[in-house]
Amino acid sequence: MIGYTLRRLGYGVVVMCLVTVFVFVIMRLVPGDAVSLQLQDTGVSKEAADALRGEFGLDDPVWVQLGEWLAGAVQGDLGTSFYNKEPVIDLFLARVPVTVQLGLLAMLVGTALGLTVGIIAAVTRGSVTDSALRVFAVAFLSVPNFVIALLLLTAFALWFAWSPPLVYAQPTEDFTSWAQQMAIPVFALGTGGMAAVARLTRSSMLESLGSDYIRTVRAKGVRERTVVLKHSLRNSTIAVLTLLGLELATVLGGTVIIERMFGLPGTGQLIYQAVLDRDYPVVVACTIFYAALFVITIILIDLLYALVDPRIRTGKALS
Amino acid sequence: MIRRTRLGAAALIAALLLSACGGGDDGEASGNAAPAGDPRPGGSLVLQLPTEIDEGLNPMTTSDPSTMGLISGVVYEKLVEYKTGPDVTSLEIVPDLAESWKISKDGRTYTFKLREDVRWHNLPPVNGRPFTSDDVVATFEALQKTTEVHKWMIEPVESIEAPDDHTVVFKLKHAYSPLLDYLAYHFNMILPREGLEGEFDMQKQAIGTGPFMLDKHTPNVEWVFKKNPDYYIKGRPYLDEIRRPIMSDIAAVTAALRSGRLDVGTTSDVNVARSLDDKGFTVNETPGAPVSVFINPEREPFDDPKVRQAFMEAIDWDGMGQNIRGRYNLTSLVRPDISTAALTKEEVLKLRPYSPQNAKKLLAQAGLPNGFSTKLMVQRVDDEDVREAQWMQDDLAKVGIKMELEMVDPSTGIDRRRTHDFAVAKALRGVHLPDQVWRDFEPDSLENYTQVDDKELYELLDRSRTELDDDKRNEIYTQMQIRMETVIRQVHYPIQKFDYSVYSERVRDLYDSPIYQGKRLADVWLSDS
Repeated sequence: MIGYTLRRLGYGVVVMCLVTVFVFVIMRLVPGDAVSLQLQDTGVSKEAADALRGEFGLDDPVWVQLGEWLAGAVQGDLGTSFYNKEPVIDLFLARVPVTVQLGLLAMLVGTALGLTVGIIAAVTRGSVTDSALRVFAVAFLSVPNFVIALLLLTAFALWFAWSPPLVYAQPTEDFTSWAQQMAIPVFALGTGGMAAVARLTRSSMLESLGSDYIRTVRAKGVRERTVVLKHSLRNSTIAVLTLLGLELATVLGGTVIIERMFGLPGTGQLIYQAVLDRDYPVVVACTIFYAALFVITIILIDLLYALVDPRIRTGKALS
Repeated sequence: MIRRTRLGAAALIAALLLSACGGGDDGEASGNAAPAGDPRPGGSLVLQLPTEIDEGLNPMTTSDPSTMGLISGVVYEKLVEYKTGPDVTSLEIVPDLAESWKISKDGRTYTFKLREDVRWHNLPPVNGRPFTSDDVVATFEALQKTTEVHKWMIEPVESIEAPDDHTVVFKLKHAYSPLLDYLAYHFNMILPREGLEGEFDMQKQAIGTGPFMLDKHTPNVEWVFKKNPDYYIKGRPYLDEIRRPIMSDIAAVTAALRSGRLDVGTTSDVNVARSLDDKGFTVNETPGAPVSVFINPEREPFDDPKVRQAFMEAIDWDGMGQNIRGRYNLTSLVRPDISTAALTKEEVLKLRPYSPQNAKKLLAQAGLPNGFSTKLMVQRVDDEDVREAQWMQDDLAKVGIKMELEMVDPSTGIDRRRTHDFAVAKALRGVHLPDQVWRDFEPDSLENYTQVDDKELYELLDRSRTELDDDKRNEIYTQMQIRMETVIRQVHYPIQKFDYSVYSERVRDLYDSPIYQGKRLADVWLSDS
């Protein structure tokens, strides 16, 4: 198990290195740079623009820039923003909590609702409830999360003259305001995951509910509630866990638009603006963060398999 | 009620940078439609800020108009200012920190008499000391020495002297008629000597003489300004606080306006503006940036002026404005909201008629009777930019010009225009003053995207800069526009778009700024405070 974990971690590091180099190079291949943007409408000369380019190190060949960046990165220096000249690590760390809150809550809400809907649909198979829930799930799976956010935002404003607070507050400062600000973004981000989890839970549970071991459990006179929640659901969870790993990518991608839409000061908004601004150091740092989060989650899910399925933990599944 | 103002903002952000004017006792004259009554002190105004200030607050080093809009006229003030208010119909220079000024007959000496009752904000290290001519000298000397960004505006200024604490004298190498316009421009704020000498970080802190003091900044969330209790106009500002939450999404802005959390928001989408009009809001139409078309004569077949002319005459620009922008101005190079030198719609239509028949003839004369294929690089800021490009594409197809559309983000657009890497490019050009317009086309300008190189145009430009008579200078600007439309034909600003500011009912005496500077908000008040 330890060897397996270490191997996965090693793969994760390789993936992150490749992502870093790829993003570093690709950003510089896209036309335009921070200097062009900063000096637009200023009437400065080409010489002044080139001087600023030199100050940012943008006049060196890409491989030299990459080498210098890597030399700094291994010492924990991810560079400074081309715009506000602050260390990227500070900019970035200030915004991580918001994205983590948003992402985790969206995953939690999506999973909790998805499991509930999936279980209800499975145990009421073929009923009107089952059909309605399935339609609901397909609808949420089909509509992009920012459209759901847009509809909710507009509906609340039109019908109840309500909108989320304009200014983000930390939950420790003002919990009520924080909860109001996070409600729509979390729900909107969680819906895609909810629908996917619900559909998968339903199909996995239907499969397990029809299996021999469930028949045996029922024959032993175990209560239906225990049959469903303890025996059937637990066996269906592995597939759901795999899905959650993939769902993380959707949620993280969604934060970029949702944070911008709701004025949440997270990394999604940071990377969005940094890409538009060609603020290369910020883009690279944010990309590493997203890649790391993704890799770590995948590893954690692999480890969770072992917890959920003892056969993986003891290695018997392979025998 | 949709209010149509003559003066206004140049870009989406522009419309937000609102200003106030005096008076306000009369409901007709107020910034809103509802009865006004006497101004009431107090309250907190919530104004949308469309983008975060990325480049810091130092006016010496940043060129970001959003920064200027946030602090100019709010925290910092200038020597002179553009008049703002309900009845303003053209650019008019009015006093700000200078209460009066004299210009010598030869146009080479400007003497400014400064207000004597002004103090800097009571914040360390400036600590509320009096504002003097030394600060003005320090500001402009620093501008000449330390920055490449804005010094071109005062390039002909040879020396700045302070004969006493409240007099400043600018001596010029030669007469330079745009000087006052540039001194009122939003970049030229007067800064305290302490900041210029590094006693506080002007990148993060702003200590000025304006009606509001910078109170708090939560990155990517909000800027908060509080009332300056020592402001030199007694009883002003009325507001206790201005909050500028950063909101870039129009759906969120609309929802916040409807819920009452936001007092003022802005959009370039006429449909959004109409959906809010008369629903407890006043919608203000404000002239914005010119829609700009750049035709690269280095790319065939645009090396032939006849083809460039055919391209422009094949497109129904008037129809495009009506159908896509809602409110617009049909224009030549100079903005009609800024200068009376701007060509009128009728004059523009004479020089550049919508005439597909003539376009076809011109193409035939150029040896292209069956048309040709080309590509339009569209710098996309809003949806209207794309719809306009599609309109152009459709009109051009009717005369045999097949045009492919290529959407790019602002950074790519700017870079490719500067490296002349396009056949035809469309963008919104952020220029205001007539002199700024022509500056783009000077040979060493980075913004001379189509490499205009016209001796006669440059002679006219030189003459305009030394001509001190307004009417004569306007006549020169007219000749320059005609030359651009009939001879050069490489750069056109066919229409000027409008933006829409949406105000809640409680906001009084708030007017859009003539140019996207952050005009003083000292006279704004809230009816329910």
